[in-house]
Amino acid sequence: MIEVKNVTKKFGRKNVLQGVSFTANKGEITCLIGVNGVGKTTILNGIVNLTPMTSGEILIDGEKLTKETYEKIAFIPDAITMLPRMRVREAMQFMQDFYDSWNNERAEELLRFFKLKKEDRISSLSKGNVAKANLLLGLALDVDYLLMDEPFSGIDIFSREQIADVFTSHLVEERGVIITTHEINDIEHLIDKVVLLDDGIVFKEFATEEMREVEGKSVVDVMREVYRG
Amino acid sequence: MKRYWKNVILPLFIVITFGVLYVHHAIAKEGLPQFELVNVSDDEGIGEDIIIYGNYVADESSVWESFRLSSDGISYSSERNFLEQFNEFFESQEMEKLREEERGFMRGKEVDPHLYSKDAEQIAYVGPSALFNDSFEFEVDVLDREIREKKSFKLDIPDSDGTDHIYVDHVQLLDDMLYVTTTNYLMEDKELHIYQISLQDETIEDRGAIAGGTIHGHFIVLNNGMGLKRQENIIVRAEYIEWNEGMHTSEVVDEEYFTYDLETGKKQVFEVPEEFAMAEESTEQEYMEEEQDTTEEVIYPTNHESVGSEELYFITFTSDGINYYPYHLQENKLLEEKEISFDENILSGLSGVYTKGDHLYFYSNAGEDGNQMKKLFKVDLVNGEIVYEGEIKLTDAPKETHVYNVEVFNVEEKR
Amino acid sequence: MNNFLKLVNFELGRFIKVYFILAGITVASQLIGMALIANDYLEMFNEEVYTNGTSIELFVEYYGEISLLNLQYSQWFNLPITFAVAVLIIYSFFIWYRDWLGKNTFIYRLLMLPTARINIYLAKASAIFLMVLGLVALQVVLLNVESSMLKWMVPANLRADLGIMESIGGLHSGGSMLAVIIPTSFIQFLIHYGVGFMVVFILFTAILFERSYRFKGIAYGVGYAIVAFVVFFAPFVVEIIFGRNYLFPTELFILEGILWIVVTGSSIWVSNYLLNKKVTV
Repeated sequence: MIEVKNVTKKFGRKNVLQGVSFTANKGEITCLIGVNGVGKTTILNGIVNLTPMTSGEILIDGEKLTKETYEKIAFIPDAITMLPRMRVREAMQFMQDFYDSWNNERAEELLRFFKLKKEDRISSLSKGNVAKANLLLGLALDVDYLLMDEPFSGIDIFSREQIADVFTSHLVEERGVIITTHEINDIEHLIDKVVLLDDGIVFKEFATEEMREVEGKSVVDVMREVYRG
Repeated sequence: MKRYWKNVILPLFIVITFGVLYVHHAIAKEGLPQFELVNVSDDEGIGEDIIIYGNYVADESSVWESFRLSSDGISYSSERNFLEQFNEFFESQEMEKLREEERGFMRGKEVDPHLYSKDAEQIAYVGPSALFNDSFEFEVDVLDREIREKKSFKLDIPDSDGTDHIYVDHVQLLDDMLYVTTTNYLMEDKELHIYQISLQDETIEDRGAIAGGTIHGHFIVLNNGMGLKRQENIIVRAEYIEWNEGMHTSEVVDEEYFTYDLETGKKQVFEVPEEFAMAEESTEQEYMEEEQDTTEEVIYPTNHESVGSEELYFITFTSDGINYYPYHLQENKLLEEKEISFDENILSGLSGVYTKGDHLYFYSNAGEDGNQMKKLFKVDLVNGEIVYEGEIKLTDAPKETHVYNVEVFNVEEKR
Repeated sequence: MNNFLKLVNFELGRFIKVYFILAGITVASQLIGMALIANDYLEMFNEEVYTNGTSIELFVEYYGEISLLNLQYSQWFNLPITFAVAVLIIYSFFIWYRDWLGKNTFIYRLLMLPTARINIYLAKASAIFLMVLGLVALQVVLLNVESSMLKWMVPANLRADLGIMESIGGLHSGGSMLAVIIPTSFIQFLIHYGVGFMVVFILFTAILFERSYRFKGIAYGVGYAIVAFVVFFAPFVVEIIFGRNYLFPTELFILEGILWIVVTGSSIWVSNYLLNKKVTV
């Protein structure tokens, strides 16, 4: 379980996060939703200690993050985290060199699934393929938690479908996933839990299935209520 | 593993290259030659006591390395161990010993030996060597080595209004009284002063100028080279020089030698041997006539003085050898001229003269082309004879076309 | 192989092409320079001796024997060194900023490696040190090659054969960087590169201040660098202010050794703190 407890973040005088708390469970897909600039990426960066939080606490399975934590949590940012001059093969090699949790078989499987070529340089890939390669590097790690920042933004429709397929496959099963997005449509049916952010706080946190069964509302319905409301 | 070649090759390349470079440098000393001081004539083992400080120079001065040469062998400055390398290489033995024995006392002090004086029990220091008009203040530090007691005090220098700066030339400790000889620079003039400091009262008991002249002149305390031992007199050479503004030239209008008894304050001007005075003048003339032509030949004659235990020696090198006149300080009279003659070859290569009290050392690069003899002579001035002749010889095989030179800075005797 | 060494290898790999180009420029320029200088000298010799009838002795007396020094004073020799030094100094900054700048988000990857973050800092520093020392070692080898070249091109009676150290020792007032980069004694070598590497550590720490606090961090970084230098050079500053040497040279050296450890150690410690607690992507 990832616990975000009363986290605040200031950039200069601007309060981006003003006491954000939520949890994300293993085996569930939790979606952080909010308009651009609401601090979704900041939260993900905070969870993996890529940027310090002003106050608050973040626990992963009840513990603070250490260097070993990176073997069980993977963050896939919205841009690829490899050198553009590297070939796909070299990027995979780099991951294998440093991560014990790298699963080469799974990486090969993803490679086939995404139809990527090992000898291609990252800089020569199309936008969609860069996103796929990025996803590959994160998904091939045998980790308990996956954080994905806007995996669908700016990607063509076919790639989008392909990526969405990943969420229903065994590649994601059993893991805890936190995903941020500002457009919910493609993945509404996939997500287990929604955290609605606005003005630096959690506006609403709910389980999608419960919401559908009890109140008969879809995620989009709730969002409409909240943001137009 | 193959992917990590950069990690292997680069450090390996670095370690091997620098290892070879510095180890090779340390072992082979890159052709720094081994010299030896070989006795040519010596009856009493004098060569055993001599230390020569110098430079080995080769290849048109592109290679030079300082060395100390004695009967124990040669040591180059670059060969000293890690921490030794930070010490002064040409420091006199007396000061080196003092620094080793009295680290606490010597801490933070200038190392100039003429700021120190020593008697059986005490070491005294007066500094700093240069005082400027923002603070005319002597720092006096005296250590009693028997009872390990240190006395430190500061003294304002009185009547220093018209003074621009002051150099401390000589410090002498005589029975709880410190005598500080200074050169005081006034606006247009220069004066030699003595300050008498009582250690008991920590005051300046007495003071006054003992000589004065224009700012262009010089006062040279000749017994500064005598080390820290007790000396009741200071012996001074005073050069009075006039500056000709129009010609931009200076002219020595007068020169005198005098002794000054620090305790009684008696000043006694010497009679300078005529030939000695003449010799210097002719040197200057010859120098002018040659229009500073940089020939390698040494210009004769050259003058030196040496303060011995009883006598002051006026020494002139001529084209035949040494002429010198002992002047008896106690009896205050000029003694008979003495002469020692040398081979012309030796004189033409003369490149350094070092007076050590009653002894005189000189170094000569004598020789016909290519086959140079680097010789050191010791003269006993009391008896007027050469007591030692040594040769600085290469002991390892010289390299092909090996043109080198040995410069000598100083000669010391082991104490 | 541990993660630190993997990172060093990786950092070297990222710059190795430029590095080889630097090495290539140095080799080419110096060898061409040596050939041209020896050639000019021989031409001059032919002109003076065969055309003008000057005797060989007089020629040597007037023009001097040719030696490695002729090369070492020339720009063929010094320009590539200056260029390499400039490139490596610039790269000492760029080695960090390239991970942040532009579209590149490689710093995400580096910071998320399951290894102590200080290893990133140490690996970048080690890469710089290795590249610096590698080029200097190359220069040592080159000097040997140039010395052989001279022997091969110029007859013995016209040249002075200097050992590497002799030729460097001969550069006392030459304004050449050679005596700085290849000190003639090993202890000087340790001092030069000890101080040099300390400066790199200080610089890296200042960069991390900037990366952690951004605009304000520039002031922190500059402030840190000033404090670090003041601490390291304090004994000398005190001596200049009071005009006297309170410490004997050996003591001064030992004290400087301790201050080196203090300054370098605190740079690493502060960097470790910044990397773990303050740095931001």
